[in-house]
Order: sequence, then C-alpha cells, then structure tokens
Amino acid sequence: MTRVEFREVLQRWCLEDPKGTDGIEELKRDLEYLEQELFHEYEVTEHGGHANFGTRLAYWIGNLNNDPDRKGLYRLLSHLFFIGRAEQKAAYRTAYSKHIMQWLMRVANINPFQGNANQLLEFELAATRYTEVTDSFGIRAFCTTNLIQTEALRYKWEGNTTNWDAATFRREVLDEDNNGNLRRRNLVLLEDFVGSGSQMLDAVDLAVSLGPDVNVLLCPLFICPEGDREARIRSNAANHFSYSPVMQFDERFFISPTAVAGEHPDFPRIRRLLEKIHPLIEGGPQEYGPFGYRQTGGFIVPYTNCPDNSVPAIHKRRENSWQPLFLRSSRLPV
Amino acid sequence: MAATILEKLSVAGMKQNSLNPFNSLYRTESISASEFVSLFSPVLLKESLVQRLFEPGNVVLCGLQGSGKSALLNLLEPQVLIEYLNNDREWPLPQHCSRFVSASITLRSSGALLFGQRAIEGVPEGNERVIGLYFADFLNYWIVSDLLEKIELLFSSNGELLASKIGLNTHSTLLDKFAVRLAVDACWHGALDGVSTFERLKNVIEVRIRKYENFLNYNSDFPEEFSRTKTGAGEPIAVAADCLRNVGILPGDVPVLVTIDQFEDLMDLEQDISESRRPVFRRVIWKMLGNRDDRVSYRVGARLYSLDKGIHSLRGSATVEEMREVNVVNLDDLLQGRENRVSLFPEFCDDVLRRRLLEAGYSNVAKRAVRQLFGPRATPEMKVEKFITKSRANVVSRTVPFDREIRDVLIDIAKRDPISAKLGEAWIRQNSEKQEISAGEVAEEPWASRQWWKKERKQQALLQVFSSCGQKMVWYGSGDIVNLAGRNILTFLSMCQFVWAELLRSLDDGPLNLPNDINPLTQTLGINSASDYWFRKIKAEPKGGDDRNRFINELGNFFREQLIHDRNMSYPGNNGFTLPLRSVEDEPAIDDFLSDCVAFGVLESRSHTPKSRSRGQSEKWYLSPILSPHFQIPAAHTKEPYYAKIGEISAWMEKSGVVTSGISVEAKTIHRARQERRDTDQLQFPFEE
Repeated sequence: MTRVEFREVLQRWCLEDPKGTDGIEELKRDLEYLEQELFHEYEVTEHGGHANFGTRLAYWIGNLNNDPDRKGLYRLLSHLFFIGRAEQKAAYRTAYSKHIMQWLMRVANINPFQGNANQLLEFELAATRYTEVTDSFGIRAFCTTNLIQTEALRYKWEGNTTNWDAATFRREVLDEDNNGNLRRRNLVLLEDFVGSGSQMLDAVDLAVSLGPDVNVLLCPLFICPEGDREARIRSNAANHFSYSPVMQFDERFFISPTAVAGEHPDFPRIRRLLEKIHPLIEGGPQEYGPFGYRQTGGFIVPYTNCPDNSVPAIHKRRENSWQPLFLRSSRLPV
Repeated sequence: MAATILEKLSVAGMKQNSLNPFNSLYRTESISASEFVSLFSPVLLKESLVQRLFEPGNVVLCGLQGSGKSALLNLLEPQVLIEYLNNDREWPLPQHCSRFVSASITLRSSGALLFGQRAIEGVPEGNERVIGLYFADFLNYWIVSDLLEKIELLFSSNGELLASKIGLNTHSTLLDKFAVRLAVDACWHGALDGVSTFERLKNVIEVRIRKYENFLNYNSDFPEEFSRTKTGAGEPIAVAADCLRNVGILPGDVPVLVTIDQFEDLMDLEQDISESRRPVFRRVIWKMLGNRDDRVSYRVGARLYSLDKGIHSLRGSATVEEMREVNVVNLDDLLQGRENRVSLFPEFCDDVLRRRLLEAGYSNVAKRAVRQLFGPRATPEMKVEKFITKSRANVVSRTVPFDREIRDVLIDIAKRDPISAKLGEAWIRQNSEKQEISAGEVAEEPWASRQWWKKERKQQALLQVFSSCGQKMVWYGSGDIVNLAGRNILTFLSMCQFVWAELLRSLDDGPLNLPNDINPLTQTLGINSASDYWFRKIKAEPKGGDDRNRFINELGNFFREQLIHDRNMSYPGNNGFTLPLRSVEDEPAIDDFLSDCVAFGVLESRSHTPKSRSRGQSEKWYLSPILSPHFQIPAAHTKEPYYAKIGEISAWMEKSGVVTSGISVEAKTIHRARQERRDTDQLQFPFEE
C-alpha cells in the first residue's frame, strides 16, 4: 500500500467514526504530531534507504488485506510508548541527579542540612564508579549529559561476565590498592532499557558478590515488570545492594497471551489480532511467538532500537510477508 | 548554512515544496514593504467605505481577529506606497484618494502599553484622569515623532516619487523652518523651547519618549518637568499638521492621516490600572477623534469587542457620535452579501490565495484560485454519492409511521438518491395525518416538485443521511471553503493551512506542481481539523473565552440533537435561535454575554422578523460557520431559527457553567408586568362589535 492509498483509507476510517468511538481521528492527530516530533528519531531506520515513518506506516498497514484487521493494527498504535532522544536525556539526568545522589546520601549517611553536606557528597562522588550493563546504555552520553568528568574507565559488563574475576575487577575497576583499600567503593550499574533482566541479572549477581565493602546500585532508566520483580528480589536479599529505577513500566502496558483481570479493554481485540496475523510474521531463529521474547507483549520502542520483548508485529521483518513499522536491529541472526 | 541554501533556492526561484504556504497566517503583519506589495490583496479597496480610510475624516476600522484590518492600515505607510511607485507596481489606491501624509502608532509595539506597569509618582492612587493625561502626552510625542520620520523619508531620494505624487514641496530649508514654527507653539508648554533645527526637534521629542520609557521600566524617577508640560490629547499632532501646511511643505488639500492600531490592547491596560475597568485610555483616543479638528484625521484599528462596550460607556462623555466625527467601517459587515449586493469575500479569498501560492513559487495559478485548488461547489447529492459507503437502506428510518410497502418504496429511492428518500420520509411524516398516502404516490416522489420546501430541507436531509449511515458529514469544494470561512480571511487561510498539511502528509515530498481539485477526503479531514482548532481556540480568547467555549459546546450539541431528531423536518432552521430583543434587554447579564459571543466571533447575530408580530423586534444568533464541522451541523441558514425563550438561554449558560446571576428578579418582574399588560389589552378587545 502506498502512502497516498493509506491516507485515503485512513481518512475514510475517520469519516466512518462520527462519534469517535474507535478514536481513529484522535489517534490520527496524535500520530501525525508524534511523526513530526518524535518518530523520525528512530535510529535503525534513519539511514540506509528506509522510508520515513509515514511511508513505513502505509507499508505496515498494507501487510494486511482486509479493512477491519488494518484498522485494528492501526488502533494498536494508541498503546505505543516511544522513548525519544529527549526522554532518554531526561532519564540520564534524573538517574544522576536524583537516584544516584539520593543513594549516595543514604549509603554515606549524609544529612542534607548539615553544613558540609556538599563537600561530603563530592567526596562520595569521587569514590563512585559508573558502569554500563550493555553498550546500548551509552555511558559516554550519560557522563557528558551530567558533566561527569575524569571518568577515563568506562566499564561494560556485557561480554565480561564469563571469565569475570573479582580480584581483577576490584583492582582495575574499583582502583583497589595493594593494601586492599578501595578508591571506588560505590559501584553503579546502569542500563537504558531492561525487559526480563536476563542480561542485567548476571552483572548484578557478580557485582553483589564483591562483598559488603562495595555499595552497589542498579539504576536502569526504563524497566519492564519482569526485570523489576527480579531486581527487587535481589535488592531485598543483600543490604549493600540497592535498586532504584528511573521509570518502571506497569503491568497494564503489556499484553499477555491470556486475558488478565483488569486489563485494558482494547487488549482482547489486540490479542486476537496479534494471534491471527502472526503466521505472516513468524519464522527465523528469533521466533518467540506473537507476544515477543518471554511472552512479554510490550509496545515500547526506544529511539535507539526496538527490544525483542515488544510484540514482533511492530519490529519484525519477513521477506515478502511482513514489513515492520520500527525495524529491530539484532545482534543475533534473524 | 541552512539559511544559505534556502536563500540560494529562493534566488533560483525554486519553491520549498515540502513547506506549507499557509504556515504563517499573519504574513502581511510581519514582512518587509517589498513582500507586502506582492501579498497584499487590493480587493477590499473596491468598497467605497474602505476608501474612506484614505480620505479626510476620522475612521474606526473594526472587525474580528484576522479580518484584514492591519493589512489595510499598512497601506497608509509611505514605505509601502514608495515600494509600489519605485518598483512600477500597479498603484493600489483609486486616484481620488491617493494623496495624503501619514503617521502611525501600533499600541503594542510602541511602548504605550507600559503605562500599566508603574504608578506615576505624585498622582493620587486611582486618579485615572491624570494617568490618562500622561498617556495622551506620550501618544502625542510618539505620533509626532513618527510623523517627522515619515516627512524625512519623503524628503529623501527614496521618497522622491511619492512626494511628487502627493505634491509636497521638499525644498531643503523648509524642514528647519517647520521645526522652528512647531517648537514655539503654545501647545508644548515650553517643552520645545530653543529648538531651531529639524534634527534638534527630532532629538528633543525622542528624548521625551525615552524618558517616559525609562520611568515606566523603573530605570529612572518620574521627570518632574513632565507635570508642567503635559500636552492635550491630539493637540501637538494637529499643530504639526498645521505647521507643515503653513511653511508650504504640505499643500492645503492634502490630509494628514494618523493611524492608531490594536486599540483593543488598551482594554488590558485599563484592567491593570482600574478595577472598575473604566475606559481611561480608550477615552484618550476617543477624545482625539472627537476634537472636531479637521487638521488631522484618525484611523483606529480595533477588534469588535473593544468597541462594543467602549462605545456605550463613552457615549456618556459625549465626545463621539457615530457617523458624525467618525465613520465606522466594519469589515465583517462589509463582506456580508445582501439581497441586492454580492459579497466581495469570494473574490477576496481568490486573490489572497492566488498571491500566497505565487509567493510559494507555484505557477499557473488561476484567477479563481479557490475553485482551482478545491474544486467546484459540491452539492448534497454529490457528497452522498461520493461518500456514503454503508448500505443506503439505513437512510430510511426503521420506525416509521407508515406501512412496510411505503418503506420499501423509500428504500428503493434511497438506493438511487438517499437525499430524496430522506426528504420523502419527512414529507410523508408531515402529510400522513392530513391525507391518505399510498405507495404508488410515494414512488412518484411528489416532494421533488416542491422546490422551496425541498431547498430549505436539503442540508438537514444531508445531515440525517450521514448520521443514519454512521458517517461524518463532509465539507469540500470552493463553496464550502468560502462559506465556512464566514467572511473572515484568517479563518479561510487557516482552512487552507490545515488542508495543505493533510495533503503534505499524503506525500513523501510536497506537491511540485500546483494541485488542482485536492482530493475531497483530504479537504474534509483538513477542514474538520481546522474546525476543531477554532473550537479549541475560543477557550484561549481573553475575557471569558472559557465560558464561551462551554456555552458554544452546549449550544452546538443542542442544535445537532434538534436537527437529527426532527424526523418531520419541520424545523430545518434549528441551527440558530431567535429571541425578542426586549427580553434580552431586560436581562443585562445575558445581553452582555451574547454580545461578547458576537464580538469575539463565536456567534453571528442579525435582526429577525418573527412569524408572530406579538413577539416584537427580534434578533437571531447562529454559530460562527467554521464551528459547523465540529458539531456536524449545516452551516447554511435556512428557514426559521429556533424560537428560544430567555429562560432557555439562561439554562444553557447555567448548564455550561457560565457565571451569571441567572434571570434577575427585576427582569422577571418586568416580564410579568408586560405579560399582565398584554393580557389586559386582550381583554379590552371589542369582542362585542
């Protein structure tokens, strides 16, 4: 379906919804605004001959060949949660100025009203090492945004967990001297987007295993319910481990394979649609079913890349069968 | 870098086709003189009333926001006129009103509005009269300063052609002579003593303005000498005009025209300094107009709402009498078509649109640009044919007061002509009680020959057809676009903007060539968006916009319900309401509120001759046409409006949360007294005769 053809179909849907029951016209305006303000930031399709959002939307709706399903797919977008560049930057700033600061004041027992609070906080900041769980976090951008200087070492847990050695880590990352004194006794694990937390938890477990003389903070910018649950379990189990996410997504943002009490009234319809159209999408090594990785059923799209726990209808490409709206770039074979 | 590329493209005459030519709606207010002459549409100048702006005599030019007031007033600026002459552009003004010298002040940008910012030392709190005197003094100096600047321009080589056209004597010695003559006049109370050159005159006047600004911005104390040298409202301006004539610069028959624009801003200023909102500052301007001084003529650009209450309250001070000292030119009224006069508005739309498209770089723009872009007028039948996608059997109501055979005939008609079927249903409902109607008779569609009956109900039938098919009404074609604009060029341009935006979204790149007959679907969606925008915008307007927004919502929904549920189509004109004027006047809160709704352009009103004479002189009110798509009701005004009672208006206001005291006790007493009198009169009828 071309962009022109799609617009005509969309305009007809608007006219056929005089009372706004389907919310098509309102959604249309929202998406038009977001297309202009936000969706163009999606990095995977920014270059390389991918069409712009409006045209990709036309291709995406054109994957289906009947009007009710097309309309249903379009209405699914009212649940989309797009994390843009500005939102990510705001999260970087919040992580540092709120979550990390509050944690340092707590672990170092700093009273904000005491006269030398500032000085004590500076001291703790100098004893803090910032690490990233995966390179998608962008620790360089985090440091630049928050004006964190002299952080020459930027440690990434991903790829280093298999033969990880605590002593080496203490020496090289936490600057332990020969007398066993740690220059960096506060260790922060940062991550941009956490789904189930499988990658993150390995790093957390290793960091916690460093012992009670190292204060550990896990601070994801955005985290899904499953990852959030796991992180809280670990946080409750170790006194020197704290967990403080910038934003955790509620269960209601995710569609589960089976109906859940109190779920969004749109979800039964969306569930049926996702199951119905999945034969057009399924296949390839990363086949997790209509609800994505670990059946998470997310509608979340960060501007850097769409996670695999978002529903594959949004991000998966099948040759001659399915054009995605926000193509996912995967490290694994697709 | 981006700017350089854009400049190059513009030099090469290429258009930025991904841009919306209507993005900036107020183009004529923010552009240079050379761009202005390309964009300005002279169509309104065909009206003799508008030509009065360029002739001697005071004129108040009023209209709603965006009606084109400032663009017209801009034409008084010598910079603009010089641009026409120096570049061999077609002179926009009729010859008989082409010779004048002008000065102007735009209240918002002049600093005049700073007067609400700081209390003047030594002036007793609440002594508005004295504040008004200083305000008048500031205006005098500002306007004289502007006049000097304009005269200097006419004396320059750039203004040579215009000076010669006006007939000015631009001998170099005359300016100093003028300065000396002006400075010694008693009107200045000695403030210009010692001035002997034009340069010095400019400087002294400029210093006085700066001193005011410094004081009002809290940068200095109040200059003590001002209290002894306050000038009378308008007097120095008149003296300056006199001196120009006396020294021989200005021929005696050339008028000096002074423009004061954005008069409405003074209302906010008055609110700042006076809780009672007395028109302290507007009164100063009114005084200038009421001086009965033919040395200077004033042009005041004002939105309607600033005049409405202003005129009433100022009338008491007897400074101005409409049509005596002031010609009131109301652009909204002017563009309204009358039985014996075709409105200029469609031509105005064509010309404005054509100029915008040419400016955007499109070629082959027709003179009738609205028709070229949006296509011909679409009839109700065309709309139904093109857009009703659901079963046409839905058009005929399931619960009808006639037998199945007749319904089947109507369904057959609906398959071919849904509008006729809907009209047929209403016709049967209206007539079935009076006469026996057979299926055979219905099949002949007797309503089709009742031309007026049919015409008055077509729009209601269209609404009911779309509603019964579960679809939104559609608006497209040159007829709809111009009608929905309601004689307001800003509304027209805003519809163009939304339609173009919708068009751009359908394309990867903007249209390279001028699109003809834009897809009706695209037009409809654009117009719907524009209508929603104008509805939301009501809220943003000052002085009770929120109340008006809720009231209009209540009213719009009421009209829609009335029109949909009136199956007999007995009241096709129920997209407006009428009230006897005496009942409105009895209830000042409602009178004021409805007047505000009209002054802010959310309602239109006009006088109405009711069916029954006992109702007395009446007024009818309609929603502004651009709001019709939002409420999905016809914009055309046909047949009798809804006969409302004052209590219903009060109830609508109450329901929509408009803060009023409701129907007052006094109003009820007056109403009761009238009713009793009427009853008594009836009893006195000579029945015996």
